[in-house]
Amino acid sequence: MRLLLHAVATTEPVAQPPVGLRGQPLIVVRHAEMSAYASRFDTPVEHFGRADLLAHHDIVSGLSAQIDVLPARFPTWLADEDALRGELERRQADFGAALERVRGRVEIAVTVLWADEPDDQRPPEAPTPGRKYLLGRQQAFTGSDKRRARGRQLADELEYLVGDDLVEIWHQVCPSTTVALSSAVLVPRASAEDVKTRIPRAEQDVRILINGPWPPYTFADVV
Amino acid sequence: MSFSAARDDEMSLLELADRLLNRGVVLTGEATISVAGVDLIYLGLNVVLSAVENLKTPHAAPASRRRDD
Repeated sequence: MRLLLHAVATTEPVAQPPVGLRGQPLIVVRHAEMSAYASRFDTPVEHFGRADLLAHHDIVSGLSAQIDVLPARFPTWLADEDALRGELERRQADFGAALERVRGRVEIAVTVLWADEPDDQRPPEAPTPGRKYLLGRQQAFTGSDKRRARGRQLADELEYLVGDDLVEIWHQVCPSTTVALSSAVLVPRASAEDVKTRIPRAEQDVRILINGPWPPYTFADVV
Repeated sequence: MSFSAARDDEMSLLELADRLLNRGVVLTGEATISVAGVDLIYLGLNVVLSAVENLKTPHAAPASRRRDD
């Protein structure tokens, strides 16, 4: 038997427990003031696909809608219930502190995409190949600096818009050529929908994607 | 569905996958995930789990802020 862990949670009852991954039983292992939810497999799964990833998200979301949870990084296998109970016992203080951090809170994902390709993607005009190369390098450096500055400005704007509902926020500025900003915002569950309405879906130079509320994946970083 | 909407859906899925694979509680484990025939992650030495893309392309250092009630 193997257990695929989905989440560590508080001990409040779950009125509507989700079904485990791939239709397997979802089991609950308890220790002290904590519960752990896992799918029980007779044999381990060696390869997962997109559907499994999304099914894990559905299970964690189903739990998160009813109780406070710390999502587990996917995939996390444990040998059996004793092994899982042992982890709960060994990490009790860490999990307790992490659960307190996310109690009553959810994560909103904000992804800001550049509306246009970067300036440095357009080749500069120059009379000779050498000069064209040097102008291209100069343009690339200047363009990326401008984009990073704009990314940081967008991060500040986001924090301003979330306002008093902001509990914690995590930013990646310009993580790729198409993304200006990737942020995770921890907000009170009751405020999540209101926060989403405050964030615009576009500005002159960017489009803004808002996802969630999700379980607090980014803020459950207990390693 | 327009190209732009499809791209937005893809980006949202990537954001979600990044969280599922790279964040959250880490205990122990071992598995390979395959999405559309491409291995996304390999988890070996108990606690090291990272998207292959992240291993290839180091991201800019993230910034986080916290506000306690």
